[in-house]
Amino acid sequence: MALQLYKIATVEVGSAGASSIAFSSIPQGYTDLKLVGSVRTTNASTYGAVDMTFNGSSTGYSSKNLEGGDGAANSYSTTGASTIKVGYVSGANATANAFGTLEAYIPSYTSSNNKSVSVDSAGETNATTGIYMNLFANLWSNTAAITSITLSSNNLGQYTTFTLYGIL
Amino acid sequence: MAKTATYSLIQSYTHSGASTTTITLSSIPATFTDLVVVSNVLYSANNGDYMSWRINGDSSSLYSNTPLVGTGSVAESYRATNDTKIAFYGSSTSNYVPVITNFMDYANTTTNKTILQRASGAASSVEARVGLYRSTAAISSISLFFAVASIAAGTNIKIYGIQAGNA
Repeated sequence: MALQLYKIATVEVGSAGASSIAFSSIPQGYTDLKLVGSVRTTNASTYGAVDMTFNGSSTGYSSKNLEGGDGAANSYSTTGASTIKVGYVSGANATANAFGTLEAYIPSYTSSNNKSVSVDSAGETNATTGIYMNLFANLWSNTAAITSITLSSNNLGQYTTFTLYGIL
Repeated sequence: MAKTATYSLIQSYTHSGASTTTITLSSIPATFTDLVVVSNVLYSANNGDYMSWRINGDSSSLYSNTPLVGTGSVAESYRATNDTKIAFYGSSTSNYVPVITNFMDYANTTTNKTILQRASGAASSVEARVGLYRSTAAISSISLFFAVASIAAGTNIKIYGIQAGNA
């Protein structure tokens, strides 16, 4: 049987950093998408947020999350947002060379239904506070097929990588 | 040496919308080491019903599970023991809910079967779960069901087989 997981593209952030990166012209021939990231931001903290949008749209996003960090578990909800969060990863004050990780699964990305997105993410550093792991249930209330994905932060640090896979 | 495929689609089912409360994917071959079941589930007519899973059509009280749950305001966990199913209480009638389940060493006939599951209901809850099926039988079928609600058109379930391969 054939392998069912295909790499579409990898993006690596260079020495200048980047406020955002994008996967555009996403092929429409797969059933699902999977995005994997190794991410460090230059946010002046131990952590930094990473946001995702689809097709350049800034409306229709909602989310629930389950978060562990600073010795407690919490859950939050957002509606009517302009982005969805896909992680709180390492920031500028995190342990040197420590990168957070995230994995997003987007089923039926070409369907005419609203788009659900399952995300697991984590940052880790040798600090007592200010580092988090998250599970997200995200939703983009839009029936358009996903043709582009943009990931942004206040600044993505060098060596940050994102890889997009198509799944059959 | 040629590389061996390690992630193979075994079955894919997309519901047409015909009235049914159950989808069963059967005749799962015992030739892989692990299974990953990727589903995207919607049901109609909310009456407090919820999504549940069974293995090998077994409805006896052999299931237990522990979820971590985020409701959007509360993080919590609970236990379900001697249950007849593994239930996800965050099902949705408005948007499809991705549920990804890992069945490790599913074909062995020596050990009980442990599962890991992630469910993402943006309108209900986000969950991570460990489940146990207290049977040493190899897993040959997996069922998704609701007590009374109909499964909506477009609900999709895919079973992938994972096999250790040469690099």
